[in-house]
Amino acid sequence: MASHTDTHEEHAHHVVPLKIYFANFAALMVLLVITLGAAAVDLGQWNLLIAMAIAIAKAGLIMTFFMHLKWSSPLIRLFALITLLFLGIMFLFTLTDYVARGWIKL
Amino acid sequence: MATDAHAGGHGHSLVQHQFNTLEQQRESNSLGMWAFLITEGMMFGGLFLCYTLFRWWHPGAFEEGSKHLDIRMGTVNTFVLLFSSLSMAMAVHAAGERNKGKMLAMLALTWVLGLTFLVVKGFEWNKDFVEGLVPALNWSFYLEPKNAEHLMRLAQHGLTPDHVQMYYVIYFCMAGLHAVHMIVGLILVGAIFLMGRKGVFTNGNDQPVEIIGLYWHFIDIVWVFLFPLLYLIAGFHPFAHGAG
Repeated sequence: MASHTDTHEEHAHHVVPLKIYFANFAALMVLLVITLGAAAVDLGQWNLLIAMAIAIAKAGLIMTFFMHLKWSSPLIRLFALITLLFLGIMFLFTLTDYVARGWIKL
Repeated sequence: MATDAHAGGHGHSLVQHQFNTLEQQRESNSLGMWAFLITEGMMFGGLFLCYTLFRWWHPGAFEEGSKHLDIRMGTVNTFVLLFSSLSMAMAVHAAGERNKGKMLAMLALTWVLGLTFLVVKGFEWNKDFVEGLVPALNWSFYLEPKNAEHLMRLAQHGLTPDHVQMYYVIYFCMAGLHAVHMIVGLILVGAIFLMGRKGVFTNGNDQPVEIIGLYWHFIDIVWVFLFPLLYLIAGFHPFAHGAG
């Protein structure tokens, strides 16, 4: 059982230091507390925006560190981000239709 | 083992014959999971779009519906899922280090946390059912005389219980689909735990653990959005007495 020190280690086999995971988890906990704190204050329309901004930040942290995007190839990063493009098309084109027909008011 | 992997045609090579290098194989495997997660994102995306439209139409109904969810339980579950993502990442780490005992311990912890999430959800849904807040099965909350004030508050905003019912339909579709994914996740984590006991992931072939991990983290991300959108609409009142 040879120790794993081949030349491809850097790309193929990234064992991430555990402290990065712990720091990431701590950051997620802080964001969870901020989410609750922000929801406890009535800020009108801003409540939703803040909640979504925090959720996006949390998702970004999970994808970057837990899902290893930080150490992944550009192709895999593209796959991860292209979901946003597809979702954007779905939301944009559906909502433009609803707004243009006056079914929902901006 | 590691050197075998690059030799190609060896009997027990880690590299399958269609790939040139282990690196290329790993990238292909990951890419497959990410492609699947795109389709998963689109499936949940359809529900998020539905949510957006209905909340836009009837924001008051969503606020009223959200008031009956238990924020404490939602918060506990958010913590449990984020914690399970940490333990899953640590299982992947242990597999990469070929540390079988630690990998199994972390997979077991992840599994137990996942089950905890579902048990808490079970309590929540049971409470919803008893209160009459489950569309189709028991939608009687607003018929009961003791809840007349809720009905009046709705009427003041020009809303009927039907509007709130739509919130609950969307709530159960989104949280339900998420729970189905959790059950699948438990089956997958359970399977790699049982396989991992034989040492098949701690001999250099650790990637299956990483790929199941990607799926697990994805479920966590979905919940990260569901929690504020479903539970926190009406605000968080830490010192208020109970929900509703």
